[in-house]
Amino acid sequence: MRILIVDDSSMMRAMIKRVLGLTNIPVDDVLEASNGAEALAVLEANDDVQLLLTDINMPVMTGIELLRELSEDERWRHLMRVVISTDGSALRREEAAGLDVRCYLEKPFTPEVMRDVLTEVAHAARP
Amino acid sequence: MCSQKSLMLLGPDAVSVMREVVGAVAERSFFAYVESCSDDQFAALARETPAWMVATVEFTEGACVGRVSCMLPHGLARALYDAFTGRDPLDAPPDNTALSDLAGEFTNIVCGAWLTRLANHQTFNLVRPAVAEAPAGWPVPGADAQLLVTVNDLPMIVEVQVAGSREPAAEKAEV
Repeated sequence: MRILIVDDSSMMRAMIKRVLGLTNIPVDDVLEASNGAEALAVLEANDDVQLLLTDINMPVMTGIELLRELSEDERWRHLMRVVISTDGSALRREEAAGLDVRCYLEKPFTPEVMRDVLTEVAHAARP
Repeated sequence: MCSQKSLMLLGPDAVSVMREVVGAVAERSFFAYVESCSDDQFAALARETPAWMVATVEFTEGACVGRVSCMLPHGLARALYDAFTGRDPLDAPPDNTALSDLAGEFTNIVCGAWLTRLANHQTFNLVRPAVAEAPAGWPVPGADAQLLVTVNDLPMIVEVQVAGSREPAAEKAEV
């Protein structure tokens, strides 16, 4: 499975990668982007990405803007989307749900919680 | 002017919620424990920690603008970095860029979690953290907007400032 992590914190991206290693998810490749615009460029070059993990508050292009772009493009219909964000407001969660987000993981979280969420989502993402 | 919901940011619950949030963030994501700290305790600990860094996250929530800052000694930043990343002791220690990233991310999570708790029915926007070395003579504990804590027995200040409106010449209030 190819996974794309989108977060403007390199440390957060590294932590998520580490947690992925704690799961049984068969990860072929983990790609990274630091904002929504970079993420779109990565996806254009790698159309077989199956799982997207994205933050919300990022410079250049936010996670919501990224999700909006993806929801309007049929090519990304297959892409499983997970939000990982400090913004746990009810409004933001509703907004994300309307943009085909499968799961919303609110920071702070323990690595075990993230591991369990990613495992569940990855199972659903498998063809 | 701030909305009625936004005024919750300025209320008496704001500081107690911040204390809970800092504890939750430190415990869940950084495997650290947080305790309250008196001015005297803080002063004693601060005397032993010469080098501090300051991470600030600015936010907008409805019509309100504000910022959350976390001031912590370098030693604490290194400890939190190791816990967050699971760094192997045999690996190279984090450089200043990595420590800045850590302090910024810690503050980012604290700010977001605090805003979520206090104003759950409104979304907010956070600006990318700004991290700098604390100036000489910093920190200066005792201001109304500050929360003094220890994290793994090391001192930290969390400071909140909220402005009443994004319009110029607005009245400024502190938590």
